[in-house]
Amino acid sequence: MSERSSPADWERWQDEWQRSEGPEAVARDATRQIARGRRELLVARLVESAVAGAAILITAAALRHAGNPFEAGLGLVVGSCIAALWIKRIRLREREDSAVAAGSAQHLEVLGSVRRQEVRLAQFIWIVLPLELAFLTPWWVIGTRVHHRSLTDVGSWQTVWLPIVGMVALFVWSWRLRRRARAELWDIELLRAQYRDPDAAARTFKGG
Amino acid sequence: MPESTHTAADTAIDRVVREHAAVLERVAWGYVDNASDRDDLMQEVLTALWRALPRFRGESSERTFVLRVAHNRGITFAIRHRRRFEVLPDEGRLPDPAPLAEERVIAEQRRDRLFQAIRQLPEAQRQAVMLRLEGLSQREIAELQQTTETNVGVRLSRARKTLRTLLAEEGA
Repeated sequence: MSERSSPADWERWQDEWQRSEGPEAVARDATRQIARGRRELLVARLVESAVAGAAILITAAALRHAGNPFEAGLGLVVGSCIAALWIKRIRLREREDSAVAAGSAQHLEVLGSVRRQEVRLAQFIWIVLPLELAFLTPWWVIGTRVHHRSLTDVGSWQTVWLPIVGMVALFVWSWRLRRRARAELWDIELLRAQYRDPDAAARTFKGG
Repeated sequence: MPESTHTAADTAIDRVVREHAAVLERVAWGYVDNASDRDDLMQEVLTALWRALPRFRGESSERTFVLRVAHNRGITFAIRHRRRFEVLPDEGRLPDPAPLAEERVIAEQRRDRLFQAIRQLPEAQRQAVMLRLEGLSQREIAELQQTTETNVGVRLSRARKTLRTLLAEEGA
């Protein structure tokens, strides 16, 4: 089937479509928008790096006080897992970015794959967090006793409450990441079906 | 990324935006229906272009490359914000647009209706139509959508019928 045989509609619509208003404004705002986009990207990466770095530092600090080889091993596993999570997150974002210039079908395929891995990433966080809690708890209990700290001391804030807040925040973030990734996966699969098969379009349209 | 590449990318993006500003603007309006979302999407498209340009090796025309990046970002934006444009009304015609200010000309009204109608199309058809209206051939659209020319023809044909129905009040 060819649409070359019905040029009248297309020509009329093309005239209307290309009657752009204010492309100069787009060009004028572009520098500001790109700068803002770059700033937001930088801030997001700095925050992620700071969170991952702080988690690794706290784990390393606790590792120095490990009471036995089991605790030391657990600390090493937890530290490695946090580093792996951080690297995985960076790679997923890079993978999504690199697919932005691909054809539509490939872009959607990569998008789907990245979302599936984000779901797994969130689930992996839910495994790492209890391990981290199991590793840090003896350090907190013994540290509080040895240093005669109360739960409101500055030391307690730095070594107990801050990591707990970080872990809660990470749990909430991972829960939201998983929820968003799963919801987007549904839409991505519908779109992939549309791009594979023109007949799938109408079904998706009526359903969407 | 080294500073020299940053500078090259900055220079390149300035030129690309100047040359393709109108195209980017139109693509954005194909995925969003208000100025606030349009600003957010434009920022994402421009940032993506700025990051992708250093990887452009001339495998396609620059215009096709820009369209690919803009559409892919548009799709991602629509998915993330779960854009669900209104499903066709039962009678298959669009409702009258909101009353326009006096100074707006009829041509703008017609153009707004066209954008509104295009946003009702299923994603793959919508993209094919927007690319067709940008002047791409069926072969080029097929390459961009990674499908056959026949499939593109089917999409365009169905989209044309839907658009004619939606725009029927104007005697299309």
